[in-house]
Amino acid sequence: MSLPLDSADLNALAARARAYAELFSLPLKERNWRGSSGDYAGTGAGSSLDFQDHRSYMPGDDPRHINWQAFARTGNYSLKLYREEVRPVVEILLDVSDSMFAEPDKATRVLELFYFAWASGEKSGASTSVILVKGDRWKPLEAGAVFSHRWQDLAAALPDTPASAVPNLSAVPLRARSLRVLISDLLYPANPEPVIRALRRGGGRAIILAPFSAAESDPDWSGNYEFVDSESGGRHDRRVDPPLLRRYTDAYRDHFGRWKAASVRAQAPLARIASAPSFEAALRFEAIPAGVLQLG
Amino acid sequence: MSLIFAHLPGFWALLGIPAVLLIHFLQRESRRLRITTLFLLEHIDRESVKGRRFDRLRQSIPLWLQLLAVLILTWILTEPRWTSARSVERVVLVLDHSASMEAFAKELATALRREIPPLTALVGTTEYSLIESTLTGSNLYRGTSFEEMMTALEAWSPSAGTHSAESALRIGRSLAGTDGTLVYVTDHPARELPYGSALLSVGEPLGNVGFSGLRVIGQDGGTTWQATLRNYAPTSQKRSWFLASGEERTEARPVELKPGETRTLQGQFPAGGGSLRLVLEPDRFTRDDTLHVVQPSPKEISVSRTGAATVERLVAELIASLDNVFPSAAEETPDLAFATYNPLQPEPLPKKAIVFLNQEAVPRQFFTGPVVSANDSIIADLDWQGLIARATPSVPLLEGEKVLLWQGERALILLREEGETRQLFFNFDVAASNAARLPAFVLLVNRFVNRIRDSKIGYEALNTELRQPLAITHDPSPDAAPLSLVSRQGRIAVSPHRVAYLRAPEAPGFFSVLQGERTLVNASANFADSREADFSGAAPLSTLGPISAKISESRTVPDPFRHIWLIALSATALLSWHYLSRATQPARSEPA
Repeated sequence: MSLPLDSADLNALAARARAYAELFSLPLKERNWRGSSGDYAGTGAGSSLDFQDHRSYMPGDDPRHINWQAFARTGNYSLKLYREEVRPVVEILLDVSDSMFAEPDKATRVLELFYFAWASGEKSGASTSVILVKGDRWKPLEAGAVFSHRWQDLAAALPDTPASAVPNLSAVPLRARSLRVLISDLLYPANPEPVIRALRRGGGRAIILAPFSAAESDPDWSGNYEFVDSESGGRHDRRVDPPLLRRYTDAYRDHFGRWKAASVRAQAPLARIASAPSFEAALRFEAIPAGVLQLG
Repeated sequence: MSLIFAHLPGFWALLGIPAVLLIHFLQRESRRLRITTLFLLEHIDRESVKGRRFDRLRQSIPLWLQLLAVLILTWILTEPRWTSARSVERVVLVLDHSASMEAFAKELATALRREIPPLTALVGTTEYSLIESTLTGSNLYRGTSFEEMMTALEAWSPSAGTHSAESALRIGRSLAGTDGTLVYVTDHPARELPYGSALLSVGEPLGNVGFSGLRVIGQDGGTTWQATLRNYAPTSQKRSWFLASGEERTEARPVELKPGETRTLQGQFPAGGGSLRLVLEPDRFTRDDTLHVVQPSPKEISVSRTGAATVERLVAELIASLDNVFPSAAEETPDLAFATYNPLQPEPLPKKAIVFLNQEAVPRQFFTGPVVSANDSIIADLDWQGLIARATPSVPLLEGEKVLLWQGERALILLREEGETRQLFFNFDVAASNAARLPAFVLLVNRFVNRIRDSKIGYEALNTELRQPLAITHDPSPDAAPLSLVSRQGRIAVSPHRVAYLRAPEAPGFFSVLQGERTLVNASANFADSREADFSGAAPLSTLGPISAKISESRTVPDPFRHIWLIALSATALLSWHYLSRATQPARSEPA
């Protein structure tokens, strides 16, 4: 499967994603955000009903917030501060390298995650934006490009990259203190910590959704193969016997073990989303327990 | 018990091993797969690509199952059998000793090497017997080595004429026993052979041309030879021939014979030449390509005439009809005397004589009664019914005399053979009878003279056939010199008590028989069996094919587990198919 895909199929996927957004949501409730006024607690004082703190009155403060009961008791002007309610910023970084769409099941799962993240961001009232990433190239989407599916034309227009090119997230302009949702299979030979550090820069929070297929995690290779790289088309002759297959699965497990460890250290929860089960089962299996997503 | 393989071509099944390996690796080479994790594979060390092949093969269960199946199949196809080293098979080969086999010496060796060893390939020990087909044939070999038997065969030279091999086959069957193998090796395939014999015919039709007959006649004071040349082939044949005498020879002359044609070659004996050779351009059967000819000369007989004048004319005519007869010299004891006897004035008679009754007065009466001859070879087949003789007085019959001819109660011809006495007595007036006009009379006299000639020790020259019995009259006294036969093959001493069995040589050529330094016979021996020279019926044929299997069955035990091997073969094939089908289920990865 390769981009662009049929619009009818994408519409169906998007519709299902909006339904899944009723069941699951992005983890926007767990911390305070910065941004324009909205429905989520901000980092500063605002006009919500949630009491935050007291402080002495300063010239210029709104006199409506003077705590008159405290003035009666103490004779000093003090103010009651309330939690600011802001509209969080969600930035979805979609890896559109060819490996993401190499297999139909995996491609479907990638699109489901993408539309779900967008729908969940929209549903929560966050300022949601999408940046397509492919190797060291990136492309921000304008509003409306997601559900019009024009995004895949932009993704297809991105130039080819070398095999397993590492996305250059440090070059991607991210808004401060935003929630960054990285949807990527993480199949590139890179140290995960710089990548996650770049993802979290600017006080932002990050979650990582990593779709994968059973053909990657548990292949049934046996005998002589001519392997062809899905991104570069490079060929690699190899005879696969059980010992080699064992070493491959060990390497695969170690690769994602490093990503897991790095994500824990960087507090950027990572969930691997299998492509074989249903979308709901796949999210409940790892994304919910890991705190990458939330119920409701 | 030792293991042998009854069907060696079954080992070709081992070629299945490289075939399986080739197919195994070819199957693995042809799969292409598009993957997303190539960077992980590239980081794994490449030992498995260039590692030891044995380790990689060991892990492939279908491969090992297929190799096992090939080995089991090979085992089954080679038909293993167990035999005991003590098992013995007797193989008796009866060689057709007829001369025609000489033309197929190479074919014989080739056929034996091709046909005989495989017969007993499955037997621990083989006892070979090689005998000739003639009743008096020799035992050429008996032992357990095939190569030694073939070496003995190289010295074998067939020379007999057409004969029946039944007696030799009977002997061969007794040597082989009831379970042994009896093979009759010939060049003319027989329809049926007795005593359970197998046939191995090594002949083939040949275009043979050869001398088939010889005649030497005296004409006009000279001697003429006549040789018969025959083409036995169904096609025209061209040859050349020449005559050789001593060191001289004529120019080669071409001769073309139509199919089956017989042509007579004729010529005069060269002056002073007692022998000559007619040499034909050789073909594969060379035994009849040279004709050796000597100028025949029977033993000389000296005769004397002591009889009355009434039979003088008759005696002169008789002497003129005899070969190599001359008057005896004075004071010489003649070999034969022609004498007369007057019963009214009896006188002693020579010991070796032909005696006529001398009756001066011619009686008027004739003998009456039937004429009956005695059973004696000297008078056999002679017709005396036309004899008319007058009734003369008879000589007194003595004891020991044999009456050769009777007429009524009268003994007409008597034969006296006692000691050195050899007398043929005509007991009637020959001159007054018609006996001189009867062929029987002349023939009887010639036969008697030949008896005298045969009993004489003297020189003679003759042309004989190969292996022809020779009647040699020699000095039998204990002090006499031994006899010897000298031919191109060498000198053979003949013991005196075996002279009666002396035969002409087996190979064509000139030969002599001597007693001491005295030559008794100068002769030639020629091939004369035209049936052996005819190769139109020769053909290759072998009925040995089923014998090998019979010997295998009788001398070996088949593999008792062959049914289990068949089941094991089926099981390995099914298991291999099971593993292969499981391995070739559609992969989750989409091939490129």
